[in-house]
Amino acid sequence: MRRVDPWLLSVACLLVLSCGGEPGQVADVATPLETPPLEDYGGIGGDFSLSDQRGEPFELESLRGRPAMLFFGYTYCPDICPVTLSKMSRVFEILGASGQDMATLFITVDPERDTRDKLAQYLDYFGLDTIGLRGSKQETDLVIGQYGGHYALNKEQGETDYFVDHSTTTYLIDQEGRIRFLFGQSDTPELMAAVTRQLLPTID
Amino acid sequence: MDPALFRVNFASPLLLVTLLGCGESIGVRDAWIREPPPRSPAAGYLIIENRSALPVEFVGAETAAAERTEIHAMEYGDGKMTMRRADSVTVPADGKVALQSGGTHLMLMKLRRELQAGDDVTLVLRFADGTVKRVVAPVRKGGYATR
Repeated sequence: MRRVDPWLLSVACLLVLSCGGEPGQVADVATPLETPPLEDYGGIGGDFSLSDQRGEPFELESLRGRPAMLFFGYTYCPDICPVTLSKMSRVFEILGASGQDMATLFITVDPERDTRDKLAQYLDYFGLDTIGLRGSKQETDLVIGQYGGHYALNKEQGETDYFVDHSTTTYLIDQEGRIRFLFGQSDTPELMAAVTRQLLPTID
Repeated sequence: MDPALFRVNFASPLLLVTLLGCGESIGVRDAWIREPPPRSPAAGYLIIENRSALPVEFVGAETAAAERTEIHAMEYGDGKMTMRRADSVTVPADGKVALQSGGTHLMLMKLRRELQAGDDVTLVLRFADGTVKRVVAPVRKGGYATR
């Protein structure tokens, strides 16, 4: 008998409830009635420096004045990372004009295989204008540690053909560079948009 | 009823057993492949139904579209995702298993051709009892919905 993770089960139920139709179909769910308030996570987050997919240096500080969504992933991850990126597209769709300033940051936890080009190609595919970020292993470790996340290269089954176990949190970062919400894998784009809206200017 | 047919049906228990045993007791439906980003492997999803009184083991898949097709089991815990290769998936007696996004799914590694929405991929699925199932999985843009 396979063990069924109750958490996963609830995610599955939630997904079935919220998107009974074809994959990719817009979920027919209204904004949740009660939007969780923004929070403060004093202990984690903060500024960092990495390189973007064009090889240009990137500082989180350069985004001051703009909110951002940040998550960790790797481009050989063809199931859940595409889901996260597609979910982001939907969040932007829901936010419309009020979300136009928000940046999306994808930090690779696999800089060894995720070359600049690979990262650029992968992110272009999703058409989100995502800033793809990479650093040396040391730099990557530093940033993910700073954000309270973790990752592990799972090289048991090959030096080139490995998985990377990683945190699936999506961080909502405000205009001052502070983390204001942690989204989990099960959070719907509707909820993410509703939470994010609290940071954004109201546009009629 | 044609008496000859009658005789065939009842005089061939072996045929019947064969048909029941490796014919329709396993069903595969709703197969699809998420259109992969460039140079990435492709994830495949489907539902396996077992209409027999015994559990069956799904032991692997092949396709001409990829050098290797693996079963990947994904688990979440503590906000972290871990993935590992699985040798098989048990489909319970009179039950079903969904290989789906966010859970155990198929992974088409080292694609032999670029897969785009609208393409069809034939998957050959193998079971421990010797059953082989062929299923056509359309390639679709995945979106964020999983099922």
